[in-house]
Amino acid sequence: MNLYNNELDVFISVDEILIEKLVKIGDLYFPKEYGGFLVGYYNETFKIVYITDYVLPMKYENTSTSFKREPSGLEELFEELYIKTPSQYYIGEWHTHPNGISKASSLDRIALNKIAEDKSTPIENPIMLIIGYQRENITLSFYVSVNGKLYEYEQRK
Amino acid sequence: MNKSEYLESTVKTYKISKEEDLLNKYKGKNQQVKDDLKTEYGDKLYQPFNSGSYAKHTAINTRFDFDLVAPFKKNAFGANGTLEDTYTKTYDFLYDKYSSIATIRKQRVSIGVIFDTDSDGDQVCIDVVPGRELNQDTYDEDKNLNLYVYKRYGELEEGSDYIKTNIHAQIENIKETPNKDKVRKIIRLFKIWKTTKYDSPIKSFFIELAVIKAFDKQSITGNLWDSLKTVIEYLKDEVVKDSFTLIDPGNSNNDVAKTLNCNEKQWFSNDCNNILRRIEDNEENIKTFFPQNEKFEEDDDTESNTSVFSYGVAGSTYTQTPPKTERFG
Repeated sequence: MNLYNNELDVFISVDEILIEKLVKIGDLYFPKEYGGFLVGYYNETFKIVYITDYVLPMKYENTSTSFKREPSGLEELFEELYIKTPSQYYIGEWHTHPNGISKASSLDRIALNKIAEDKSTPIENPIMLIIGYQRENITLSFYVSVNGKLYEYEQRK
Repeated sequence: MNKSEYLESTVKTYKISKEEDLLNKYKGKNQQVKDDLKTEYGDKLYQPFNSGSYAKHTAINTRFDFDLVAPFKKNAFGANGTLEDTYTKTYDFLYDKYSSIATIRKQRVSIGVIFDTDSDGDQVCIDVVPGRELNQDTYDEDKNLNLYVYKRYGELEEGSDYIKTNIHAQIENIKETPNKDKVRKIIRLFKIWKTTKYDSPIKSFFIELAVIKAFDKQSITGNLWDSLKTVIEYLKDEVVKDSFTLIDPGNSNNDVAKTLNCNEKQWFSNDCNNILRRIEDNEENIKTFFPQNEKFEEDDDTESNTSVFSYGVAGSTYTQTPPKTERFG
């Protein structure tokens, strides 16, 4: 699956099987929200981000309208991902919206912008995937935070 | 100054991921040698794997340490094949395969494949460690290997030409240590300190086991400086004692403490004392003992520009875990 943001002229590339896995994982926690971290790498020109994997949090709190995750305990796992070939690293977040659409809420916007500004992580433009579950309908939205603003991607065939 | 913050920042400047281009070259050559060994020896060879500081996550970026262990079957070189055959035939293969693009060198238990300097001025060196299982088809079960000791570099008693070891156990030893993140940081700090010494006799394996032992024997709490200080104090007092041992987790008969003689242990103890006293006198001295890697001292953030936008990364390392707790709606 390829996604594109026209305004920024950047891409996301992600395997549909990976997305299907995340949808299934999120469904297990329905009707509460759930999520975790996205892992991947950038191409040489930093115009494409490849999402290759995900990491689930060891600690989290969730309700039907919120999801809070902690990164603690995952240091070794990220180190191991990094020494893979090609190196893979934290590139963003994913979470679900049970009984809702995949549109980013104001809390989501604030959280992703805070991550972008956080100096403890070197990525300046974190990606966020939201999976919405409405009856039988699953919706997906991908965002990136740039200079305090969220930009949404559209799917490219 | 905040000594702990300084040390945290110092460790970051030595992360191998900072040297991304060089690391990628190492990983590429490492994979190439691994693949070539598997192609050549097929099922005579178990899966080659990396050992050394790279595999243990204790490497620093001023010196890469890529050891590639090649675990051979007992009969890989015939029913009457010797351990020496394992070593020399691996050497012959590596020589035939790479001598046009690399220098192949016999070392103590390994064979150095030193690739010619590339157009960037980088030189990649992979140390291939040929090992042989102790008995036919037992490696999968016990992971024990015999390593041939090339006599020219041999330090064992006369008549001994092999070392029994279990490299998996050595790697697991550090993985299973409680507080392994802090242990690894302190091992890296000792290695950084070692770069300030001229021709130190202390081997990385000694440092590694000594730090793990300090954590095992002492209650080590607090921030990175508090922890480092406790480890240094412990080693200052203990390393000179006759009873001080560092048992190799891969071979209980191998006491790594004996790789230093009495004088060298005393010098190390004096060094530990000196570090503590000098930093006590003036905390700025911490920068002398644990200098940052100037090449990677914290840079300003890279500029972000949406008109010609590309995904931004500050610096060149991406290994950090995600930022602190965050709530989504």
